Amino acid sequence: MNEHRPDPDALLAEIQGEVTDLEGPGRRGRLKVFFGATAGVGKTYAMLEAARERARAGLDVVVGVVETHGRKETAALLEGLDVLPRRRIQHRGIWLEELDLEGALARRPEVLLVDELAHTNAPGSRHQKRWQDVEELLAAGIDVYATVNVQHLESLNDVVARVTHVRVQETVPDRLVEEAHQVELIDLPPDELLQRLSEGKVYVPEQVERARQHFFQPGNLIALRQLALRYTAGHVDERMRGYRRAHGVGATWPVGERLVVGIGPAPSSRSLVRATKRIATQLGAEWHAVFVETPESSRWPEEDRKRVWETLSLARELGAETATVGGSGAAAILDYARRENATRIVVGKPHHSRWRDRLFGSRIEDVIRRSGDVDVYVISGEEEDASAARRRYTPQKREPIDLAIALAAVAAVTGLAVFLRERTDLANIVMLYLAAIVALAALLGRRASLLASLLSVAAFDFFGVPPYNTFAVRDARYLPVFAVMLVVALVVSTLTARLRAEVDASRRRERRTAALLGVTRELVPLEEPTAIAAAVTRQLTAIFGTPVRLLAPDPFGRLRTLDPAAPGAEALTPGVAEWVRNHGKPAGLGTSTLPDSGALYVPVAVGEEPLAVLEVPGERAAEFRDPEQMQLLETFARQTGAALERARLAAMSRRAEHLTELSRLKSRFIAVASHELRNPLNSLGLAVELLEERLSGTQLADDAVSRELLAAAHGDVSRLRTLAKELLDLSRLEAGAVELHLQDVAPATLIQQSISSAEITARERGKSLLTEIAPGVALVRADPALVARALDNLIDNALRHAAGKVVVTADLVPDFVQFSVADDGPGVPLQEQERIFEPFAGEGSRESVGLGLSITREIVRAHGGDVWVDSGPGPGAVFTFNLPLAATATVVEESI
Amino acid sequence: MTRGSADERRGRRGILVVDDEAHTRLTLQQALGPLGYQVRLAATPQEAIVALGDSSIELVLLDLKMPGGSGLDVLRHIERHRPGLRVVMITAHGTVDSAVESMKLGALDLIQKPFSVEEIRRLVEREMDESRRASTAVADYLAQVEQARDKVRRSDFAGAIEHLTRAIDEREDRPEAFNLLGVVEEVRGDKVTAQRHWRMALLVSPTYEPAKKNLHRTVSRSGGAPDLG
Repeated sequence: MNEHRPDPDALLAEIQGEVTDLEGPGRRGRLKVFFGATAGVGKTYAMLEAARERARAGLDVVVGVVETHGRKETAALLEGLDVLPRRRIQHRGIWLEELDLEGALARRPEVLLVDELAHTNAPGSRHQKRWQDVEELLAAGIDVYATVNVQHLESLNDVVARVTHVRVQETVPDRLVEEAHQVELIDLPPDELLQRLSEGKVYVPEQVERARQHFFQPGNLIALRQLALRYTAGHVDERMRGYRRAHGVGATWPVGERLVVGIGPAPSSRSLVRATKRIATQLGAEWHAVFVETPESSRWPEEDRKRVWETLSLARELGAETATVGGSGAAAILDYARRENATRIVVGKPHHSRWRDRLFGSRIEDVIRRSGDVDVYVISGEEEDASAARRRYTPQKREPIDLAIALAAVAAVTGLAVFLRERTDLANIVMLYLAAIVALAALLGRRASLLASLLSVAAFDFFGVPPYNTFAVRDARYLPVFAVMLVVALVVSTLTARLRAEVDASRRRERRTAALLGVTRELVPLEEPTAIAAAVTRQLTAIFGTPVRLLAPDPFGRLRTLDPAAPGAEALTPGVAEWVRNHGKPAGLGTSTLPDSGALYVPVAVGEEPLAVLEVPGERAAEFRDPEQMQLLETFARQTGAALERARLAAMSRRAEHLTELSRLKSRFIAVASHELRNPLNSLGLAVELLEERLSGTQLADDAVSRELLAAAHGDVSRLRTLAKELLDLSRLEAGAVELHLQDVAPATLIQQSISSAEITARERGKSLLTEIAPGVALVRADPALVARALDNLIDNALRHAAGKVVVTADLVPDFVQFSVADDGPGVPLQEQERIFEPFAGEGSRESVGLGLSITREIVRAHGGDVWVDSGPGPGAVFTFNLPLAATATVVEESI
Repeated sequence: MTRGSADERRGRRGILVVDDEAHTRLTLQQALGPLGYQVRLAATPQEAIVALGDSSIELVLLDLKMPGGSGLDVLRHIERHRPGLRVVMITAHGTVDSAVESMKLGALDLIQKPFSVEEIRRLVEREMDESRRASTAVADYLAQVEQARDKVRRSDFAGAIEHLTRAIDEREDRPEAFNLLGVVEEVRGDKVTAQRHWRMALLVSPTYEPAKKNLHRTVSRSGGAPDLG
């Protein structure tokens, strides 16, 4: 079969959503939507019937929430189905019943029934909306059957409102239904619906009349049915496209349609966004919603700015990419569209009168004229609420002061003008006023400088032009002067004000960029999670003006602050923080999930997993409703995550390096230790066997050879015994398992003790052993037995290598007494000086000295001292170690 | 067999033990002495090289790890001055790196410490047998070659070829028989085959002078008598 033509059966199955996915624990749950034009078409009934069928097929079907609205037939279908108890929430004295999300997640049914996706949960629930509950259930791998009416779809909200004159407040994002595995349209002709309504099957009787008058008019029902049918058809269409995309049949679907919609503060922007969403869905295009931040927009009243954020949030909810760009109107939108390779731009129809366009220029005309090959759609935005659309001017706090300053300044200049009017030319007085206006425009708001302009012209006329103290003008030549003065004043004040606003806006952007740069720059060199946490906390607290904290899992997996300033503190609301970590989505104050909590939480993804969480406490969290602020916070979260990931990788690589080094040392140790064991073990074994042979053989056991063998065996045994003891001592010393019996000892005593035990060996080898103890050497704090052992080992080593002389010395240095053992042997090459204290550094080439120096080092370190070797290019080596002074000795030092 | 008769048969066959561990030297000497071989001891590579001047030594037991130059130095000396001498490495190491290196340099076997008296005796007997077998084979070979040479001198080429075939069956890694085969072919007038035999002789022993001379003589047509080796 031609691979470009899929099997029709497979296509049909895919469209109907019946192709079974791979089952598995990580599988996302599937959503089946029972979709209807209005209430009463029988969605809940159909859902319950389907559920009963699944239950009969042996699936674990549980009823999460089903509203029977008192309908008997529906209630009857509930019989025999497992019903999850509802969660009861008390709100303002009323008990509300909600879907028990926790219970459902714990119960983990195969299919869960959830009626009315658009339902708004009672305050205090985890999510604001029921559809958010469903999203979490799906993410947990539970299949959900749900019901939705067409008027609840976000993108159809306006259309439905226009048709029925009833605006539905509860909406469901289209995305949810679009991504549903299966959408089943429950269709009922309007006549039958009305019939059912009058029979009391839809609403309980007392509600019937009200419903019939308002919503259930035949015209409405026909329109809604059409909408529902069209939407379902579109859904099937979309699934078919999805199938074609998934199976590489993309050739017929040129990609690249991309829409950009410009939004503003008007409430109609919401409709604009919804309309764009509909167009984008029809085209299968991705779309962007852009807000252009102009100098004026920064002075908009809070209400307008909030509306812009909300519209951007709505766009995001509907699947758009959102952006805020700086610049002025048309140019900014076109720039953005070009950058994003958009093919179409959507703008709203203007609502103002034409004279404003004539005067100030039309933004839409600008966009159309300069759009080039980009198509421009001009769409009428439906007014949601006419009164809200009126943009009112809200005075800023500083304004009365500004106006007073303007008034005072004009008065002062006028005073000066009165003083100068007889003494100088009129032009100079005009200049004086203009100078004042420029200064005021630069310092004050636009309205204050406008006021100053008008006042100046009036005051100039009244006080500056003869006849004085009247508005009458003697000479008509002055009239153009007034006109020019007024125009110049207005233009200057307007331009100055705009310039200032632009400077403000760019300064704000600059501050944000600088903050981001600062955080990034500070995080780059850090490799310690606590240092990263401290830097993030400090920077974000400075930027957002509120104590932001970074929470990361502690060794027990609980979220705790990492900041060294306050380590191990809990989150303000640990449950929400935990939820955010587990779901990788922002939640808490200012979001739609768990909005009642005291703080806002944003996930910080470390690598692929959202491991850590940023916490913004209550007071300022509400500001993050501004998508721009939120975006900034999320950017910081990403940076933090990257830094933490880097820290984790660095730690892992350090650990790996350390382990490699350890394993290298260990295998070398084992190789050498085994060598040290094998040699004596071999000759011991051979000697014993030979002795046995001699005893059983013809030869006498008591001959010279046998005695020689016996001596060798004895020597090997003692060598093995020493090795075993040294290995044990070394490992105990290294593990810190040796208890020090500290006392104040005179260095001379320690040295004398070791010398006397080494003297025999020295004599045997024909070497001289000398001691030099510096006068005034203080007592040391040490374990005499262990230090004697350390000294013994050094002296033994020196005697082994010395040509003829070994000198043991003790000297006083600050805080320590320094012991040295010097020999006149061949010396230690520089490259071996560091290694010589490692176990078996001699590679077994010297008999049984493998561990002596290592043991010495461990003993000295246990005392808080250090040991090293000095050996120049010439002969001779000096092994030195230091021991801390006894406490009494230190006191004596200090008092001197 | 009794120990006494073994001693007589073995005469002055020698074994060299090279190990820096005094106890190992002592015990090995005592373990190998009863086998009837003469056991010589060396504690350093220098001592070992001196001892190797004794041509009666047929086997070297060599410790890899010794101060003042490693066992590998002794191996290199043997490869240069006593090729074919049998060498067994003794090692106290658990690693194989140096063992591989020593095998490359011609050591035949490796024994790890600790080993038993029984084990080392078995190993030494095996190696000495092998050594004798190798030297007997050479003696047989040389006897056949000598007879063939005699036959060639008496122009009994068929008899010579018979002896030479037997000699090559015994040892095919020596050049003498190939050289004589070449001489026979030359005399019989097949110069091409003759040259092939001489080249074969030079292949197994590149420095064998008689084959070199014969080849040169026939190629340059300088004339002269064939070299019978």
